[in-house]
Amino acid sequence: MKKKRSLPGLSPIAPPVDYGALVFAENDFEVVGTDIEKSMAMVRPSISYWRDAWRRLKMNKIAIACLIFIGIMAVGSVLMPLISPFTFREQHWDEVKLPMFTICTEPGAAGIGKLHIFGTDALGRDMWTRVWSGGQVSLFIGLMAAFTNFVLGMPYGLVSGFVGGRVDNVMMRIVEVINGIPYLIVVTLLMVVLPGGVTTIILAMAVVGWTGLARLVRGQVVSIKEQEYVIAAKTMGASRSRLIFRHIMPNTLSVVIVSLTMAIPGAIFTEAFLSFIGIGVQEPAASWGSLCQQAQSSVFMNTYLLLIPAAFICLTMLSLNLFGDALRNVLDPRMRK
Amino acid sequence: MYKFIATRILYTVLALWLLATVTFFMMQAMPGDPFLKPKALPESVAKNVRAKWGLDKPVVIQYLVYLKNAAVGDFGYSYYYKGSRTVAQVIGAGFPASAELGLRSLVLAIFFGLLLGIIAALNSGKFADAFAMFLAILGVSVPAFVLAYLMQYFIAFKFSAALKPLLGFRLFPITGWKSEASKFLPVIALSFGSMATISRLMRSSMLDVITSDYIKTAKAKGLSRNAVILHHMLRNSLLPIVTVLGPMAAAILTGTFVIESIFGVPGMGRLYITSVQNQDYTVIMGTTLFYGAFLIFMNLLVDIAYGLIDPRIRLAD
Amino acid sequence: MNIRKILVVTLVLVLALSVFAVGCKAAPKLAEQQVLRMNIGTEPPQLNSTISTDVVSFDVLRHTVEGLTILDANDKPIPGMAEKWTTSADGLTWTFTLRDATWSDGTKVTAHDFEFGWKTLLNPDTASEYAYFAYFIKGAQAYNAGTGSAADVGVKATDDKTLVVTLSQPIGYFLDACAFAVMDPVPQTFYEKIGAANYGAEAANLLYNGPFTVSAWTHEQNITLTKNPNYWDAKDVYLQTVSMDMITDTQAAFTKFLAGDYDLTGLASSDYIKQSEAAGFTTKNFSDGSTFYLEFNLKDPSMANQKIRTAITYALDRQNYIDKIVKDKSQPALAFVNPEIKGSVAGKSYRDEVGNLIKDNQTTAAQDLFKQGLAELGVSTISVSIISDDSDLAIQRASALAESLTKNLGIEIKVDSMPFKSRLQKMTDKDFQIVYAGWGPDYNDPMTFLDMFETGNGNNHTSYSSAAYDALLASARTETNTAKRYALYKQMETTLMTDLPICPIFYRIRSYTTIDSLKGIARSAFQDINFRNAYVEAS
Repeated sequence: MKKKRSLPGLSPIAPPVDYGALVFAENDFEVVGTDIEKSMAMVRPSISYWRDAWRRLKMNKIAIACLIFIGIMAVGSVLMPLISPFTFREQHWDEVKLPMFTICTEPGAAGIGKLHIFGTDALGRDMWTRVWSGGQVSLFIGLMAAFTNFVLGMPYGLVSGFVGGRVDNVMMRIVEVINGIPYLIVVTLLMVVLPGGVTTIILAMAVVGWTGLARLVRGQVVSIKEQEYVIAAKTMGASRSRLIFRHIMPNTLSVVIVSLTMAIPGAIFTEAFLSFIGIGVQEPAASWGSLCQQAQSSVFMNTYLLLIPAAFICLTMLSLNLFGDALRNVLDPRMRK
Repeated sequence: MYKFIATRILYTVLALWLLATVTFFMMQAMPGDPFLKPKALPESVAKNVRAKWGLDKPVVIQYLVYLKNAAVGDFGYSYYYKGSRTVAQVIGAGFPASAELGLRSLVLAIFFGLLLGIIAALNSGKFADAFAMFLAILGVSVPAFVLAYLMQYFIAFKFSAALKPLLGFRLFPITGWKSEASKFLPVIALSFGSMATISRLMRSSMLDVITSDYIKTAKAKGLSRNAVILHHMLRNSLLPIVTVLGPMAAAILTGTFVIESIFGVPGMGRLYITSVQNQDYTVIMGTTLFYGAFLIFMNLLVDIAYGLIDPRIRLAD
Repeated sequence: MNIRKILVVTLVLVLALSVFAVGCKAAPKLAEQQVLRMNIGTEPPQLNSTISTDVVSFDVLRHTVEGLTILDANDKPIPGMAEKWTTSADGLTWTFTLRDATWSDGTKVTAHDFEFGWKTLLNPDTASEYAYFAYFIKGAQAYNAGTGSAADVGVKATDDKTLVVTLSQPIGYFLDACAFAVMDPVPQTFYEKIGAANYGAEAANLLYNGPFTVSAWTHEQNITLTKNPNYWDAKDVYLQTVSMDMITDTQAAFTKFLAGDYDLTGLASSDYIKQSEAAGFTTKNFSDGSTFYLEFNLKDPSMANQKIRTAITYALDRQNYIDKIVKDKSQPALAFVNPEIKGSVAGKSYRDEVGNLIKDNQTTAAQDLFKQGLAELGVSTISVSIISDDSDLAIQRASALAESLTKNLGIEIKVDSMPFKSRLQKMTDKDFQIVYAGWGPDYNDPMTFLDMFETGNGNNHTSYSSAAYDALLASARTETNTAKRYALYKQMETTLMTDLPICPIFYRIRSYTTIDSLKGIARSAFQDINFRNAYVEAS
């Protein structure tokens, strides 16, 4: 226990205060009534939660820069392969592993005389075109993985954490079983049963990927639902859906968003890992992960073949992460100043 | 408490049975079998092989036999090792290295992850925050195998060779799992990703806590900065970390294929991938169940840790 | 025993031996330390000659357990445990006389060890996957299939020194076959003491009669071989210690070589060749005897058309493909049987005798044929998929091949890469259009390549079925005259290269490199590696 301290110069009981000549008469005050109109009037324009978030996001220069960069990546991935003089799959056998900024001299190639900006790979394919078209695949996989995680994991975690008890227990055991199933078996199996490729990878990620978010959300809900304001709302007769959507869900969002911004790089990495063990995207399609993987054996002779796709991954991840952080700051009601 | 433990054991057994069943039939559905080789076996030879390994029986019978044996702790022999080693021996040989690698990485990841997260949160918006998060983001931005190769080449190969004239020996071996020096690089390479995850979660969770009323109260009643951080903030921001720690620990401790194969660590991750590639059925089943049981155990620890960290969460029946 | 101890012992032994060696013949100039360090990639599952099936196990067994014969550096069989042998006029009965040799526990190597080893290999309870390799012994197949008895198998130790083998048919490669690890002797008493399941599972669970013994085996990490001082030809064995690591990752193993941790390394692709040459090492090459080719599924409507298959086969420019894409010393394959297979007369290969059977780089002719083929099918174009393994290299090579066919013939070709076992299953199920595959020889005879195209053969994934071919095969199997048999082989291969159920692409040559002072390493089609007579030269 801390000792009670009394401030020097102050006695426990304050003496009566002499207000001097200041004396009020009863008619000094006048009832003006309640001006209903005025009290309901908006002093400032009404701002919705999301508009406020956007307004505050715009103030964050880094976040906007990241958003622009991600936009460039996304648009570039779609456009660059279309406007490039080379296709992502055409092979120039006489021009394999060209260094960066070399002019194409392959006879018969449509892009003869044009620049291989990032050089060429082991089959003489233009790296610039491949990196951008790899971006299509990687970004798509990342977004889809985050999306499926959210769609499956969020409601699952909410229900499990909110309902609690036996239902929670069963739901969490199911998550454990799914988590325990080796990813590799799921993927290998799906890769063979279904036509190998991007859809299969996303499907395999969806099957096992959402459990992490579900557990995270459940953990948050379990903790939030015992907090005073939720109990207060419950006592005041708030409905279940109001409790969930109004009081609990918004407060899990910050953690969910951080987790989702990590799910994108996570998915892109998982794809890279699948490429590493040889069951990633199907040739001639490329992804940033598979480009890194193919460059593995030439790391020390043609380092740029590894560094270019790796740099694309890094910068995109960096932007996504920084943007996710900024988003978290503006979405969290408690962060408002 | 007894009731809690009893129900958890029941659930665990149920979960493991489900896991065994799903894995068994998925494994059977995978194309190929353990004895499918580039050169087809003559029928007479194939018949002997199938008979020896019980693969001549219908799948359902194989499944029941497996369950019956597994129930008494007999997980069979590895096909790949031609019956000279039991699955338990195979896992027993791989697990220690993986566990050591994982435990070291986990400790490293937790320590530096929390440290970075706390520093970032306390200096939110300042340079230290940006720097700590930059480090963390770098950790999740480089694919593990790229990092591992670069470390292997530049640190174990080039740097060690450069230091050799000074030290008289090569500081870091390129692969291996014997000396302390050989464990240095794989541990760091493995901890990088988890460290980043932990630090980012910690930062975000700390920021939540910092703005909450009880922290204001604690500050207002005149607690020292350190006391506020230690007793109030840390404890309350650990919850989301603990949630991810369970599966993270299980994944890390049971081995990461990429790191193990690049640094030549004789662990579970390598074992698992090769068993899938070879379709060594018994080892796939064994490692899967082992991994599953481990995960369930870690999650149980997480649930108990929840209760300890946050008394508002009671252990539900 | 730790490495330091091994080194000390090694040093002592080397010193002792070098003193001894000086007085002998003009031995190579030996360095002080006779140590070879290398990577074998994976763990040998079990060093049990009766059930081993993998290259790594055979690499270890080749140097630690010796059969009746051994192969020299040129794959020629020379006396091993057998000092000499005689053969009957019909080539069916072989009588081997064993030399004086001991196992590592001091017991004698006897003819009974061979009889026991071979019968264990064939015992249905052993369930050996390689049992069929010994089916050329009389009664072997019946015993293995459960319809005969062990007593009827044509191998008999008449005394400790004499082994009599009766074959079911005369075969040209019997002495070569005796050098293969599955034909190794197994000492019965020791085998039964250890138990079948554990025989060869640890260093101490195996007896050694070869040039080296396994002195340490740390599972999943390292196997160390030490010179066997009691080996009959120990004077020609120079290496004292051979350390074999099990590093799965090719790049990591290669970096270890560059760092000086290994004395020898494989160069798995042109990238490694480039790196090792940049570091000043000389690239060495050897043929592993395998042929790479496309297999067509004749049950597929478009692949069933012979003109289309011929067009594909003739359209390729193989040398260009090897120069630009494969980028090693591999040779264009213009027939199926690999040039490493020996011919009917000594010193000549079968390939030399028969010559090439197809042409390549015939773009115009191929395009004409292709058009005719399309017309026969009644379509304007076809789209096909090639199944390849999922390794980088395999995908790259298949993609390049697809691209060149697309360019020359206008076929739309997709590369479908999948895990190894999935590919094998698709081939077994005949669920494919084209597969990019390779085939290596089991024994030194064209038959090892040619018998797979027999109707209904388990390896005949193409569903190729030709009555003429089957008839030739049947006569070749029973033909005792070597020259006549080889004539039949030639006819068979010519038929095959006309019908073209496969499209040969290249004969693989593999590359590796060693430190300059390491001499006497032999690598060939039938011996992945042989360092029996290798040594480290003094600088």
